[in-house]
Amino acid sequence: MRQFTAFVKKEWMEQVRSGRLWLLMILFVLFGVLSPALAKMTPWMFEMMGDTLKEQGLSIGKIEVTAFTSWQQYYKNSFMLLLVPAVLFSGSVTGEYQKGTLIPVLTKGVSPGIVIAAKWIVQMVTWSICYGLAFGITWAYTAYFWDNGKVSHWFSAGMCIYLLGCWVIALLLAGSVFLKSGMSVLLFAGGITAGCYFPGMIPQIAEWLPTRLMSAESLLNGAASPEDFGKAVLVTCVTGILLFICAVTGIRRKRV
Amino acid sequence: MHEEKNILEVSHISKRFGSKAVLKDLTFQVERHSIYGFIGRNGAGKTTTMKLILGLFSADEGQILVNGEPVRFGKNHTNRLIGYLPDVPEFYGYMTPAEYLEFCGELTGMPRKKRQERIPQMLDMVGLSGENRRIQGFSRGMKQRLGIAQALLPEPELLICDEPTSALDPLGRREILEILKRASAYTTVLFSTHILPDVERICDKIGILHGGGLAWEGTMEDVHRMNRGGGFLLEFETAEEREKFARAWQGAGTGSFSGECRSDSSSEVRHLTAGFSDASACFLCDGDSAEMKQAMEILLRENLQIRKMEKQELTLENLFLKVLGDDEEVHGS
Amino acid sequence: MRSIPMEQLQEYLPFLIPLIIMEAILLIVTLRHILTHEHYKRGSRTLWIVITIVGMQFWGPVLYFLLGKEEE
Repeated sequence: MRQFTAFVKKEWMEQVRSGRLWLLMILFVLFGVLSPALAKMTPWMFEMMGDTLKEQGLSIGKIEVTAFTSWQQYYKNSFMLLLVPAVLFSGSVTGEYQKGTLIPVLTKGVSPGIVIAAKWIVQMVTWSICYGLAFGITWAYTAYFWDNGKVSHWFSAGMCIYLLGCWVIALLLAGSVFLKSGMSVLLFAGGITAGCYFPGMIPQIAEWLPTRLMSAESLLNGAASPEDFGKAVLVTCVTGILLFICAVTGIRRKRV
Repeated sequence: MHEEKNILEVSHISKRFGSKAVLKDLTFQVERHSIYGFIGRNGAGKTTTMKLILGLFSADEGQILVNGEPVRFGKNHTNRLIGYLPDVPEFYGYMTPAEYLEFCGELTGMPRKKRQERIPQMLDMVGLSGENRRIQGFSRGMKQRLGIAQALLPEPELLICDEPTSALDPLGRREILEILKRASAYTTVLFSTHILPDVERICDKIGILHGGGLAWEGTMEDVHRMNRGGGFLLEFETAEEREKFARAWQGAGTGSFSGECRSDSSSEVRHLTAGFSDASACFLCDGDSAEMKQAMEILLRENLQIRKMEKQELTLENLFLKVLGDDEEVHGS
Repeated sequence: MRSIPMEQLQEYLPFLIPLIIMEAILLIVTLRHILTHEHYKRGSRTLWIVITIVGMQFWGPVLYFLLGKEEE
């Protein structure tokens, strides 16, 4: 346990001093502000375009912006919300093996599994803070300008993307067990996600896949209900835990 | 804790990477409170042996005992007794040396009070106290010294250093050797190198790793003992003159003196003269000053000219070359 | 092009202020990092300064930190 806490402290220091935490926080604040801002600007932008369109003989009716528009903008960014932390976290394990910074640690009797567990917890905390920031800011603006109550299941939808982020973290760690560079770990995670895309075209399979969570947007207008995501959430949780266990136990075999 | 006489026992270890056998039936022991010098060419398997001891590689055959406990790959339980300095130590660049040692102390479960007392001591010992810069700006030598500090911090029973001096300038090398010498007062040191003067300076015992096994092992005293009667080397202008001398020398051997022809153009001569002289014009005689006098008499009698006559000290370097040379002959035949 | 009336601008202030602050921080931090480092994973100093300023909304600095920042 003391080894674990010591390594967690080290990982946290790394997030802070390398500037990774600040970069992520700034970006997620931006993501959080941009979604309602774009929603707010929509009528104005249509007005601008409307002028040119009118000259061409087209007219556009009045656009009504609601809380729904704001959240819709937020979920348009969900791919970026997942990609940015994935890129920043992808080299965390492989980098240490490549540079050899782990050798003094492992030769002090620290088991590699502890290293993985510590990295996991720190990445989870970082992701939770950052996601909380983006989500919270969008929520607050939307509540200020419109009414969140008009949007159905806005919280469940947010949790879908959050859960998917947790799954990606476990996936990256599992990939780090057998891959050498951060880039290949990222490609591996990307490949798995893309691999879910094609079977995902068959609806019966799609509802079991973690990537189903990407379409959380459909919860907002009531096109889907939270129950529709039950299977995907279950699979994501189970595979996420399995990936984490594989990472913790498998890393022992990795050659320093 | 129970104390075995030998802190480290390596027995019949074999290791291959793919089709290449790096270690073949390697056996050696390291006694407590000694400094063991592990010599070998680059690629002889020194680093592999160390990584096997640390449980970072799995051995194909054989057993390694650290203080009587077997080393198992992936389960690095025995590492709590070992301090390790890698050949190119890398640390977290965003920490200061004190922070790094604090981190190491926490990893090894050192109580806070002990850490506060020992970390400044260690930094002082390696000459890094008051160094508040982050490690990313450190030179190779500074990293090496920090490496020793982190390895010695938990007071290990065995300190393993992989080529601690090879990338350093002479001054830096001497500093590192001094630190190792001082450390040997309370721990056992196993270090590898290909710089022979380093070994001569501080080691108690030497093992020469060659061809996957221990080609020679002995104490520094053994080396010095062998030094007596290292023979002498004669260098002639031409190979013909050398032959003429060789015949006279062998003829004289039947008489009053004991000096025998040890080798003519054997690999040993080639090694001794490597790169400096024509080996085919050199002759290596066994014997001491009495035999040297004899040789001079022969030279006068036969009216032979020589370029030089040199008494051979059997230094570690010669021993090293001899060991490797013998081996090459075996392979060659 | 029609300009935005003053009252409408005021409406946008809750967005504009945090956006400008965040982007300014990101820009300054990135430029400072570029100027205090001599070597980059790829690209040159001029290239990264141009990218950072052109893409100052946020993707310029992001690209730099992901692709250009040297590993320590």
